[in-house]
Amino acid sequence: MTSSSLPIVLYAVPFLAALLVAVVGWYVRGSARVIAVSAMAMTATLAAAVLARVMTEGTLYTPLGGWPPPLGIALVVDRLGALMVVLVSGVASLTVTGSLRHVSQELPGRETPYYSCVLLVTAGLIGIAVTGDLFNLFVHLEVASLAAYALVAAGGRGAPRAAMAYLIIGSAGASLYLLGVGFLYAATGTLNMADEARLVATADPRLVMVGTLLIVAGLGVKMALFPLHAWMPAAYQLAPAAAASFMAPLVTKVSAYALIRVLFWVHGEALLRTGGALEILAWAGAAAIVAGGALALVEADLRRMLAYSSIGQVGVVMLGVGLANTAGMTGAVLHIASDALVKGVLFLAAGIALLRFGVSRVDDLNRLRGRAPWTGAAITVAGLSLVGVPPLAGFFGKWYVLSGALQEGRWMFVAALVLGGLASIGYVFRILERLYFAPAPEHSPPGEGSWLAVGACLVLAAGIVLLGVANESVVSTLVLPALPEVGP
Amino acid sequence: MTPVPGYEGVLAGMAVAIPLAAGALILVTPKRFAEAWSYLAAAGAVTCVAMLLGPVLDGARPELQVLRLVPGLALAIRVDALGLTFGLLASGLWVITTVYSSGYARADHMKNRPRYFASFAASVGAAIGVAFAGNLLTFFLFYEALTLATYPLVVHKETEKAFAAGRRYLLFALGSGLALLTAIAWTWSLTGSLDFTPGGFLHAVASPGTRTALFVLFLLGVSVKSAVMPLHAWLPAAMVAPTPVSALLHAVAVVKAGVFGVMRVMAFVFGPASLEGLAAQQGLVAMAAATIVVGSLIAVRQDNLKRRLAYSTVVHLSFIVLGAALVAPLGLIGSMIHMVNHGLAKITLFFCAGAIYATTHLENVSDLRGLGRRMPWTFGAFAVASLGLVGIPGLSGFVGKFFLSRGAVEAGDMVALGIMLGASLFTATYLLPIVQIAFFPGPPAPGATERHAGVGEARPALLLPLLATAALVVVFGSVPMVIGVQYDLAAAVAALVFGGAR
Amino acid sequence: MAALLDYLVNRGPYLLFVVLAVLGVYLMTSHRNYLKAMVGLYLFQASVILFFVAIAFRVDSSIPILVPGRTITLSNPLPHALMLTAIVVGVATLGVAVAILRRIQAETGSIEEPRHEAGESGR
Repeated sequence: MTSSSLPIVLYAVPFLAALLVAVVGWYVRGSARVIAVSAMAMTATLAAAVLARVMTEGTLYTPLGGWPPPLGIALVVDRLGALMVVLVSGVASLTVTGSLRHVSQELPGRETPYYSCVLLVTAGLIGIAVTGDLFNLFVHLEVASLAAYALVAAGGRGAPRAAMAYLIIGSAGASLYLLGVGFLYAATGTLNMADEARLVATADPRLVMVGTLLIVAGLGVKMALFPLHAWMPAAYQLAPAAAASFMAPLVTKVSAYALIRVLFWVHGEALLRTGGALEILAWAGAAAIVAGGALALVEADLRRMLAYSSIGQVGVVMLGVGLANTAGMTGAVLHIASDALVKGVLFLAAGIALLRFGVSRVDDLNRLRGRAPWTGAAITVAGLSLVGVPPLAGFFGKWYVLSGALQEGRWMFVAALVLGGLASIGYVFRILERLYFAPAPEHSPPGEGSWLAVGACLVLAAGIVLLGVANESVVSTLVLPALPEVGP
Repeated sequence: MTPVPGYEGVLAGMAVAIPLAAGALILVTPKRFAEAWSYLAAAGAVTCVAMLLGPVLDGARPELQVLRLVPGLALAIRVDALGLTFGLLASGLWVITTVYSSGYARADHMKNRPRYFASFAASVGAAIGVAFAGNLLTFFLFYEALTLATYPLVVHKETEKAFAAGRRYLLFALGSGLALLTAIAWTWSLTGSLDFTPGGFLHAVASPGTRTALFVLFLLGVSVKSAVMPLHAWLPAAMVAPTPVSALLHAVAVVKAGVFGVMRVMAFVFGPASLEGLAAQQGLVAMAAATIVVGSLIAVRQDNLKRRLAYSTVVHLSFIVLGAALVAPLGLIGSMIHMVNHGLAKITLFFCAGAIYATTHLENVSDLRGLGRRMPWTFGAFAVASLGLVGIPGLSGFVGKFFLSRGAVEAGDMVALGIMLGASLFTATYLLPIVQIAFFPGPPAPGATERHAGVGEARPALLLPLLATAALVVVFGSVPMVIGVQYDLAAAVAALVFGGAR
Repeated sequence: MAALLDYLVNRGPYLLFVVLAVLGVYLMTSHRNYLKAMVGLYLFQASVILFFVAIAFRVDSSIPILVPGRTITLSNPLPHALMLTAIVVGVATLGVAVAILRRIQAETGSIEEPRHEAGESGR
C-alpha cells in the first residue's frame, strides 16, 4: 500500500469543476462547456496515471485529513478501482464531448446547470470507485444520484415524472443501503472497509446477514437489478438524449462495482456463501437476463429498448458475481467494461437519431439508411458486441460467465444465458434490419449529424473492437490480478 | 503431424484474409471497383489455397496463430486434408461464381452491387476461415461470421418475403449458434482443450450422459446449416436471394460449412472411441435417413425450380451427414468426396436456374416446356449435372455415393444403404423430368401459350460458368488423377481418425 | 408487565424505527400524490436516522460532548456525525424532489401520478 494524494486529486477535479461551472457559467457565456470538457479530459488523464501507478506500485491509499485508518475516512484504489476510474472517466469524457451539440440543441440556455450536474455525477461515480469507507460510499452514491435525478428531469414531456419515480425509488434504495451499513456498524463498530473485513468474521452473524441483504437490496435498486428496475426504462427513455448517453453506460455499472467491492472485499467469499446472498444475486441476475431480454424484444421505443437491454446486461454481471468463481468474476468485470462501451455508443447514436432525424421508435431507424454510414457502422459494432459475436468485447464477458456456470453445473443459469442471447439476437437485428435494409424515406436531412457525436461513437466502437481483440492480454494483465479471492 | 509455421502458415492466413479484406475494400472504394476487387480477391484466395495442396498431400499441416482470445485459447488456423478440401471447393468455385455474378447483375439489373459483392467476399472469407479453423472457438467465430456475412445477401431484394426469410435465417442460424457456444464452453470446462484432434478428444469424458448431452448440443449447433430436418426450413425460404447467392452459398459454402462442421464434430471432437455406445449417434443416423426420405418426397412436389433444387440439397446434405454419422472409415471418405462432388453438380443446377430466370423470367418447372430447344447448352449442362446427382458412373456423384454405400455396408447398416440407393434413384424422378420436358415437350396442351417466345440462349457471362462447372462434374467423375487426389486426401483423414490416436 | 415495560424502554427506539419505516414505505407506495410519496420517503429516511442514533446509545450515558474534568460515559458520537450528513442528504433530496414536483405541476397541472404512466410504450 502506497500513500498518495492522487486519489483525492482525481476526485477533486470534477467536483471542483462542478462548482466552478455553477459559478462562472452564469457570467461567461459558453464557459460551462469549456470547463466541463477540460475537466473531463483532466480526469481521464489522471485516471490513466492512477492506473499506471497502481500497476507498478500496488494499491494507493489516501487517509483524508491525515486521520489514520480506521479512525478516518480512507481512499483506497486497488487494481479493480483503478480500472473503474479509467472506465468511468474515459466513457464520460467521450459521451460528454460527443453530445456537446446535442446539449445546445435540447437544452438551450440551461447548459450551465447541465454541465454542473454532469460533473457532479462524474465526481460521485469516481468517489464510489476510490473510497475505502462504507459511509463515504453512501455519500458519493447520493451526490451522483441527486445530480442524476436532476439530469433526467430536464428532458421533455413526461421527464419530470420519470425523474420523480427515479428519485423516490432511488432514494429508498440508498436508504436501504444506509440501513445495511448501520447493521454492519452495529455488528463490527467500524466503517472502514479493510477493518470491516477483519472484524466481520467474528461479529454476530445475524446482524451481518441482515446488513448484507439490505446492502444488496439498496445497491440492487441503484443498478436496476430485476425486480428493482422499475425506475429505469422511463428515465432513460425520457431524459435528454445527451444526459441518457452520459448516464446509461455508467451509473448502473458503478453501482454493480460497488456491490462487488462491498461483498467481496468486506465480507469475503466464504462468509457470503453461508449467508445465501450469492445465491440470491445469481438468481436475480438470471431472472434479469431473461426478463430484460424479453421486454426489450417487444419494445417499440428505441431508448426504452436499450434500457431493458441494460437491465439484461446487469443481470449477466450479477450472475457472474453470484457464481463467485474466477471465471464468473472475470466475466462480470469484463461485462461491466464492455457494456459501458456498448451502451455509450448506442445511446449516443440514439441521440443522433433523435435530434438529427427525429427517430424515437426502432421502426423509424430506416431514416438513417444511406445517410449515416459512420453512425450505422458504430451501431453495428455495438449491436454485434451486444449479441456476443466474437471477437468483439461483448463475447468474452458472456463466455466467461457461461464457463463459470458450466463449471458449477448450474443448468438453469446456462439456459438463462442462452435465452438472453436469443433475445438479444432478436432486438439487435431488428435495429440492424431497419437501419440497413428497410426502404429509406424520400426526404431526409442531409449530412450525418454532429461530427463530434459521430466521432465519439466511432472512438467508443473502436474501443469495443480493441477490448475484444486484446481481450486475452487485458484479462491476464489487468483483470485477473484485480479480482478478489474467490474459488477455482 | 509437424506444424509448419512460416511460409505455408502465412499462405493459409492470407487465404482467409484476402476475401475479408476485399469485402472491406469494396465498401469503401467507388462502386465501379466492386467487381474488380472480387476478381482479384478470388484469384488470390484460390491461388493461396491451391499452393497449400502440395504440402498437405505430403503430410504437412500448416499452422498460424493469429490472436490469443482467452488465456489458453487462440484464434488459430490449421490446415489439414479435410479443411483443404473444403477450402479449395469454396475458393475455387468463388472464381467461377464471380464471373456468373457479373453476368447476373447485368441481366437482372441488380441494385446495391457494392453491398452484394462485399457480402459475397466476406462470406467466402468466413467459409475459408471455417475450413481452416484449428480449434472449436475459431470455428465458432467464423461460423457465426458466415451467418452474418450471408444475411445481407439473403435480404438483398428487400421485399417482404426477403425480410421474412432473412429473419428466419438469422433466428435458426444464430439460435443454433448459441447451442454450439454452450457445447464449446462446456467442452472447454470439461477438458481444457478445444483443438481439433483426429479421432476426437472427448473420450476422456467418462460419463455417457454428459457425452450424450454434449453430442446433442453440438449437433444442434451444426445441423441448422446442414439442413437436417426439422431444422431445414430456412433453406427453401432463403431461395428468395439472387441466384448466384443460392448457387455458391446455399448450395456450396454455407451448407457445406454445416456438414463440414458435422464432420469435424463427429471425427475431430468426438471420435470412434467417444461415440461408442452412445444412442444419440444412432439418433443422428435416423434423422439423416429420415431427412433423405422426406426431403425427396417434398422435392418432387415443388414446382418452383429453385425450391425443388433446395430440397434436393437438403437430401444430399443428409447423405453427407449420414456418411459421417455411421462412424465408418469408408463412410467418412464418401462424405468428404460427396461434399465436393455434390457441390459441383448443385452449383451447376443453380447456375442453370439463374440463367433461365435471367433470360426468360421463368421460375417454375411447369413453364419450362420446350425451352431446351432454345437454350440447349443450358439444359445440356443441367442434364449432365442431374445425371451426376443421380449417380451415373462416369460423373462426379457416383464416386461419392460409391464410398458412402460401402461405408453403410461397413457399418452394417443395411437400412441406411437401402435408403441411400433408393434416394439416389429417386433423384431422377425430380430432376430428369425437367430435362425431359425441356427437350421433349410433346404436343402442347390445348389452349396453352408458349411462355418463352423469341428467347435465345443465355448470355456468355452466365453460360460459360455453368458449362465450366458441368465440365468439372464430368472431370471429377472420370479423370483418374483427379479422383485419385480426392481419394488420397479423404483417405488420409480417415486413416488419422480411425487408425490413429485414440 | 415489568418485563414488557422493560422491553419497551430498552428496545423502544428500534420498534419505533420499524413503525416509521413501514409507515414511510406505505406512504411511498400507496398514494398517487407525489407530495405524500415524498413525505413517505423522508419518513423512511428519518427512521434510518433513528436507527443509527439508537445504536449509538450506551447504558447510562450522556450526550457525546467532552467537558474537561467530567468523567462520565458518553454515547457513541460517530453515528451522530454520520446522521448529520444523512440529514443533509435527505434535505437535499427533498429539495430536488420539490423542484421536480414544481416542474411536474407546470407540465401537467397536477401533483398526482397519472392513471397511465408517462413514457409507457405501445407495441
